[in-house]
Amino acid sequence: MRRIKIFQGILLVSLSMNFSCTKFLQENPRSFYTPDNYYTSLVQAQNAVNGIYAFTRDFYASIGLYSEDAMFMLEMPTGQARTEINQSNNNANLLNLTMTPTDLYFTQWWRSSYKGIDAANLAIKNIQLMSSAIVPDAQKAQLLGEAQFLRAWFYFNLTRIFGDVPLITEPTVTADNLQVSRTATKDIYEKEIVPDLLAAEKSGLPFVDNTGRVSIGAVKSLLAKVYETMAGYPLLQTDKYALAKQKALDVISSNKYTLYQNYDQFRDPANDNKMENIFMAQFSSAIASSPMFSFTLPSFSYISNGQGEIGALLPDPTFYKSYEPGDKRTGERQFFYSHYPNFTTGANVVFTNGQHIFKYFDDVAQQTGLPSGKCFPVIRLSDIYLLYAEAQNEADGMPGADAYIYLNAIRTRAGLTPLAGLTHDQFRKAVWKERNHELCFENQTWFDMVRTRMVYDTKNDQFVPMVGYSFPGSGATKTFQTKHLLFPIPQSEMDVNPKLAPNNSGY
Amino acid sequence: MDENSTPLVGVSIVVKGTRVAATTNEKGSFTIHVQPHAVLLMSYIGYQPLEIPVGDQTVLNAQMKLSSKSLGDVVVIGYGTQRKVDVTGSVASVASAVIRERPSPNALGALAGQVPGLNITTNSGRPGDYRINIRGFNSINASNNPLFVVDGVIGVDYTTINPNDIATIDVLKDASSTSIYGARGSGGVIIITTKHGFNSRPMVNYSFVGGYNVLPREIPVLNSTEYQAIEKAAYAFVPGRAYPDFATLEPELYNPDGTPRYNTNWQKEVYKPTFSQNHNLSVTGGNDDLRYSMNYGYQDDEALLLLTYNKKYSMRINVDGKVNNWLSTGLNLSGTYFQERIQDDGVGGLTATREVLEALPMIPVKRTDGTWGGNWMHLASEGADNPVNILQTKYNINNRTVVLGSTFFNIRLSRDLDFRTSFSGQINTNKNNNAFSGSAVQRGLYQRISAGVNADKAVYWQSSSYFTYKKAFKGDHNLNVMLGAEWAKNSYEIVSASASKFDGDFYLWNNLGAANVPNPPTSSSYDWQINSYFSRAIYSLKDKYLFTATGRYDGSSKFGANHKYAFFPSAAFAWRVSEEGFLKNNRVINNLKLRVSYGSTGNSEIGQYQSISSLTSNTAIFNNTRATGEVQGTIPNPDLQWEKTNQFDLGVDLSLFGNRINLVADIYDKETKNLLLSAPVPFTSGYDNILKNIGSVRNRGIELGLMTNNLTGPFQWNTTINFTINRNKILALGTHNEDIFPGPRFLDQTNILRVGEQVGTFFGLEREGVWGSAEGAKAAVYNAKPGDLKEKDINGDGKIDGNDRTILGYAYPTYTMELINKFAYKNFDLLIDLQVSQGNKVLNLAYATSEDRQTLANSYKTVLNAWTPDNENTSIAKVRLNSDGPSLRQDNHYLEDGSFIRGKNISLGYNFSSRLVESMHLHNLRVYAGVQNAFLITKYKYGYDPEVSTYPQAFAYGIEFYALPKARTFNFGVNVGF
Repeated sequence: MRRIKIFQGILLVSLSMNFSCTKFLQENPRSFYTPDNYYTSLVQAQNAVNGIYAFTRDFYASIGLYSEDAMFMLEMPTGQARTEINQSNNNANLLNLTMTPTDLYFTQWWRSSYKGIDAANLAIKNIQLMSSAIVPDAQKAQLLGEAQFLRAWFYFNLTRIFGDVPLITEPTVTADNLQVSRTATKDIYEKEIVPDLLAAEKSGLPFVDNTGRVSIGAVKSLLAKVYETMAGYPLLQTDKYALAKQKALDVISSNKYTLYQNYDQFRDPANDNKMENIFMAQFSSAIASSPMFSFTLPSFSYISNGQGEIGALLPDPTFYKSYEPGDKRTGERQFFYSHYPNFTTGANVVFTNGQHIFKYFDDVAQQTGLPSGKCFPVIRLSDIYLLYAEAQNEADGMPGADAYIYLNAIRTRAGLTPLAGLTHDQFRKAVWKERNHELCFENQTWFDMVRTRMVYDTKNDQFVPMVGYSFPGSGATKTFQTKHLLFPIPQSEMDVNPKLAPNNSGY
Repeated sequence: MDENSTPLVGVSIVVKGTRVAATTNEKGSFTIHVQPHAVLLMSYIGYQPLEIPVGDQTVLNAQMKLSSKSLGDVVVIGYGTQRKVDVTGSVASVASAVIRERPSPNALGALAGQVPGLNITTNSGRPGDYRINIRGFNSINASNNPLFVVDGVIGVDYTTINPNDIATIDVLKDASSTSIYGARGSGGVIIITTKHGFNSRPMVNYSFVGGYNVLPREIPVLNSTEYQAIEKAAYAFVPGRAYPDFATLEPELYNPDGTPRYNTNWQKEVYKPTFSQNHNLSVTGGNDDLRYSMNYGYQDDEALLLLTYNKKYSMRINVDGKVNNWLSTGLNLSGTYFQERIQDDGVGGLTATREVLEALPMIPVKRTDGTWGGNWMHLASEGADNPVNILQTKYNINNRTVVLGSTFFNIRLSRDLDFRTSFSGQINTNKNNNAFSGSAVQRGLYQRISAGVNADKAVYWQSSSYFTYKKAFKGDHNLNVMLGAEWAKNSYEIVSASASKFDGDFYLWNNLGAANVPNPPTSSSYDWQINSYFSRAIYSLKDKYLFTATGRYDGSSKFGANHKYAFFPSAAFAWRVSEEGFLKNNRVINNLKLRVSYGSTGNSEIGQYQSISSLTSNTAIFNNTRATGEVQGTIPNPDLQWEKTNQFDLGVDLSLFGNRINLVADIYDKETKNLLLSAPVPFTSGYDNILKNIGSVRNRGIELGLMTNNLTGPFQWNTTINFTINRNKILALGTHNEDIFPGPRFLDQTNILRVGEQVGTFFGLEREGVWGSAEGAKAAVYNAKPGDLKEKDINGDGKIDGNDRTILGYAYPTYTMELINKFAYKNFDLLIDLQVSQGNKVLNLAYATSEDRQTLANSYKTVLNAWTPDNENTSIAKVRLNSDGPSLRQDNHYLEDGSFIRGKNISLGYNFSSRLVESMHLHNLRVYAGVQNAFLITKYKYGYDPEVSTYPQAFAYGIEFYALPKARTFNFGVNVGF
């Protein structure tokens, strides 16, 4: 009897460990949010937009194993670049124009752009659903404006790099129907990029923002570049030059941005998001550092306080020699440098491989050894000045007075004689050359090349068609073919989505 | 007494056919009342049972023989025990005596090679760093580890168990034995039973093992003179390029005549002999009502690398009590404190194990002013710190505390029905302290000094209850039915903090607030829960025909809403042929059993929260300030479910000539479906992949365990051969069976998962050699010059790219074998244990960095055979500066044959005779000495040991990147009981 009672007691105890089956197995994560329990306050709406900005760093940050950076994809194949270290097949293939769809950078541009786009889609959709009691209408418009600018910028890069790409404007919520087909370039501009930017233009954002956020100045500048590109290849909508000219003028005449007076100001981190800078990819030494200083320091030159000195990107000598005599930008420690004191001993170190890029030299990082926190310039005023000059020349058939003013502002800063009395074609080429010399190694040159399909023949100081151009000194082993006007869609993406086939022709 | 004439305590003696029983006391003596012509049955775990007719004797001596392959009495099978002869599944038992023969940091080291089908290999020379798997790899993304059950507690970390606490280990390999563990059983199950007390007066046992560890062999790298010759050749790659005048530029390193001052052998500086020790003290005793076993241990395992150790302090107490004739209870409680310092982490960076081979030979360990030397003293080199410097200034220390406890109540409800309920818990907390300064202090690079701490805690509880019904029916029918339920939960939390740029290396991790650059701290937590119902029925007819059926219904919180629960059944049949009339008294065959089983198990070892949708935070920066961002995290998969393994096993247990020859053979076929794979999704979705059940893998193999008693007279010799063949094949993969490159990615992908091939397949280019001087035109087609590497253009399309990659070899061996020979003569015994692995290849990624980067770092001596116009028949490209152009390719040059024969353990022991021992008032005394890793026969040259794996995943097996070498250890041990 006693045995049964005790048995019952113990049975009750063990049965009491019976939790209700389904509740016991439910998952209640404590370390992350799910879409059901987020988007409930103004701060959360802001965070949803903040998250989109993070992806802008991916194109200028260090990736891969061998001092690799996605921004090299737009520099190495221009015929104007070299490298000092040879451990990266990704860099080598671009320098030799032998890139294949399995190379690393194509994946990085494609993948990070679409991640940013999904983050923007998610933010836009959910913020729109939030009531105006939580997010007042004025702030809602601004938050949406930021997201729309960033989404447009991601698509602008995608279509300039890959051509026809899938157009997705809704966030992904299930794993069904993920295989999408490519949308024509024209539709991407007309149905997505331009409408997003026009909406952002009316969002009520401030004209300038010194913290790194999207501003109306940034929106108008991007619109100007978008219109300029639509006017060129592949769309050739030449009516857009007038619109480009108008937007560029809006930015210039606002007087909210100031041209650098010397090139040290370009490098100075104190000028991040100020002076000429209209939109930058944000970095910070302690939070997420930029590798550009390290990558452009000459390999193992010991001129800095323990920085990695990689020598991954430097100019081809023919490009350096293509600047006009007396051009300040080729002076020592302006855009380039060829020697520097050893950090410990002070002895002068003359670089084995000649001229290196000085644009990203970070004085603070060089002294302290801390990682460089210099933001990367995506759009700056000099770009808009030259863009205006080019657009006005094209829109009106011949260069006007203010076109000369803005072109010459860039030239006189470089110590060059101002130009005057040029024909339409001479002016156009003068602007192109100035763009190439001023904006070199800022991820602008390649985009200028593919929208004009002309390339700066540095050896002979002239512009020639891009297709058929051989890199100087390469003995015709490195020659642009038609296929090089676009980069290949990453092979891993082709493998997983057959609807994208065929890849860009030639790959 | 046992085979050494030591008295055996606790031997169970039963008068055959009755319930009259007795046990031996501490002198090995017993008293029992018998009728005339009775027969006594004697049995003891780990020994062969004896049947002795009493006849007319009133005094009887019996000697029992050790049975390390357990024709011994009982095996533990999960929620119960079973006589070995009744087992229908594939189960192998290993006794504690066998484990004690092999000194090792934890139980796994001792188990290696003892059970066919149980594959235990070391990943490197780090103490306790094992890779373990039973019958091949089923899974690519989920863990392949077998499930460890310790005294009924499921999922215990085996490293927390002191090997000296172990009484037996039972390895469950086939479906019939593992299905009872359902969703956690597809990797096999290893059941560890710790020692419990006997009915005897208190017995004390002390054992000590000391080990002296040395480096077995060095890897040939360049010395200073050779390095200078190669460096000169590299500068001369560009005609006319001057070799720098180092006598003037670096007078500290070079003599005025230009020759180097120093010639440092870094391997000798870093791999110095070390001393390991292991102490254990146990006290056991008790009576019929209360039995206890107390165990205390201290273990210090040192690796060869300076300042690398693994120390363990452990304590255990097991108590078994009989409250009355229907209630018994017990408690197993253990606490362990670990201190571990690791120096071989940080794979890929400039670590100590890498710098041992890459540090330049002309750099001194310390400069004349007493500060550290380093590669950065020499022009254009990679600037690494020297390895001695790294080891002395790098800390990665784990202080782990594990408390494991379980208690049970066993209620005898009736003669045939028992109810057992147990509650167990494990608390596992770790504090990790890390810091690194290198030569930062010396060079004023304070931003390089970093430190951090991590603290984590896991709390696991488990509640199991089950009924067991045993009944013998008339007509030789025996039924054993078990029915139970279980709940378990694991809760985990972790917090981390780190900082950098201290003003010196004084604080290490003890004052993170003093740093100039604090990193944001992080924390996270997760849980998972399991709920199960299980049952087993064993039916035997005439003790000859045995049937077993099991079923388990498991639910786990990790799986999708549509598949929280799943059912795992199994069935088995065994036929004890030797009990049949025609074989009953056969003089040749004394035991023959045929077994067949089929069933299914699952694998639930994936991370938590994989089936639900989530957001994730990232960091935006505005005005140099951090701003939180919240973006997409994972796509939901409500259909996420278990990987399911169906296994068929056919086995035979055969003993001949009165157990002179014993064979256990199994053949098995396992198919794992619903493999959890990260299926890539289009990046256009904003995601990278989604976890889906979409693959399938098959393992087929043969296991043979042969034990022979060759000589049984005064000179004894027995042999054990364990032979394992496993063939792994991927049957389905991905949504369209497309190839998967799971990584790691080095210069290019290193391995491939492809349908029709096995997991662990190497992939890359094929190196044909080097372009010769006469081949300039052909080389130019491939953008190469004479002196550059020549890769095979497999598809003949005139370029070397991803399409020229092919399958280069396999990481897993064709077969493995363990050959154990034991000799005994008088008081001496000798053990010789050989390990054989044949057919495995090793991908040594260190070739890429230690052969092809002349002037950046030191190189293997292989570069002395580099291509020159006078030495064209070689596979090594012409030496050059790193900036001169690429010469690195992910190809088969880095792949070596890893087959080996290893002298794993040679050990000679002496047991002092009982007379001498008793005169010292002791019970037994044994001393022994031996060598572990006595010799290694292999073709693998440029790594320390071909049994190596630097990356943890199953598919990355056999890939090494500067692994810590295994030591050769000279052991000395003492075992004394009183």
